[in-house]
Amino acid sequence: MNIKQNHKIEESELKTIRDNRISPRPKWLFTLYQTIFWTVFSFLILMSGLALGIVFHTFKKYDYEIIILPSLWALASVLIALLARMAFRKIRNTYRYGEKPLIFVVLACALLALFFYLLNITEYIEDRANNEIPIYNKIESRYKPTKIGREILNNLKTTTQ
Amino acid sequence: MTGKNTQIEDPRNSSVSSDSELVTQALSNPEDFSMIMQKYSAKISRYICRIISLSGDEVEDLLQNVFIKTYKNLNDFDSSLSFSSWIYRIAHNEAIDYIRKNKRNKKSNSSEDDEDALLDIADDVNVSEEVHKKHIRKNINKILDSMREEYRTVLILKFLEERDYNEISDILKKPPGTVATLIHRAKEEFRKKTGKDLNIKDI
Repeated sequence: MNIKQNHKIEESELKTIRDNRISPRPKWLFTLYQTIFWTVFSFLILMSGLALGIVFHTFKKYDYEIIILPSLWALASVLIALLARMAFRKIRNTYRYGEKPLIFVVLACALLALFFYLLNITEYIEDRANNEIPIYNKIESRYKPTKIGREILNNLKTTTQ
Repeated sequence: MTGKNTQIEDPRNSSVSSDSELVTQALSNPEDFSMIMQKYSAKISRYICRIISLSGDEVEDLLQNVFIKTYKNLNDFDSSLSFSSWIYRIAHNEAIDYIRKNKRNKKSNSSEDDEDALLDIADDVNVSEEVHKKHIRKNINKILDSMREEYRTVLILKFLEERDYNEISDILKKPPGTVATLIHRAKEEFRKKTGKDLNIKDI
């Protein structure tokens, strides 16, 4: 492309900007986008940590037997963490860090899980779900000890005796 | 030529303005956006032509889209990266979108100058014999077109646009480590293809 052509493009471009009254998007809009993604990311980390904490709680509640509820909460925790990763990618310049932030996400979720579990927040959430969500109650009432669960429980009992 | 505080002569004020200053000026006065266009028109159109084969009118259309998008998002420019990398990122994304929307072949369109620069790749992967280089010069476009899109892109950015790893990282929004891996793999693929395409009669 030669200088004349470039000049033609510049003129045409400025004309388009003038005629269509195009203006730069306001800075506050970009700040808002970033704030939203940071908020969503933080919220999802909290939720993932909470779900993981409920896994600890339900495992203990059902005597460490592997049943559907802890598995569902574990799956929920993983899915929410993946959503958090997607939200993180939308935040400015995070591409520079590759997958290293995943370590932070996992660590943060584990620490939050422990925090919520020790404060009995997980017990409260799980009890509320049990009392107020009919489908949750149905899943719980279908609890049946599994063969693997019994083996683990027996091993634990033997070890502690 | 590239970098955060690249300087150009401002033809109107006879003073030197950095890219960041140009952005500030363009934000307060739309007419000043012409200085940014003046500086980057040729570079961006050359880059677009290197990625996809387009007619003159199509390049103009795409270039206009790039500048419109750049102007609309001027307030989103992050001064922690170079303006050059930022506008190249917009150009790259617009070119990729164009390819997808129009289902265009991603054929490159390198010039004679590009062929000389691309021979740097041959040197880099130890394709040093003259007959190999002669063969590569003849078939450079064919070799590039047969490569995977991401490999071709990093080779173009590294050897033709002469970007460093951090700039390529900012343009493609990939971590610098990934960029280094892509370049390494691209060179390997280039080496394999130059070896495969070579007929016995050419030796």
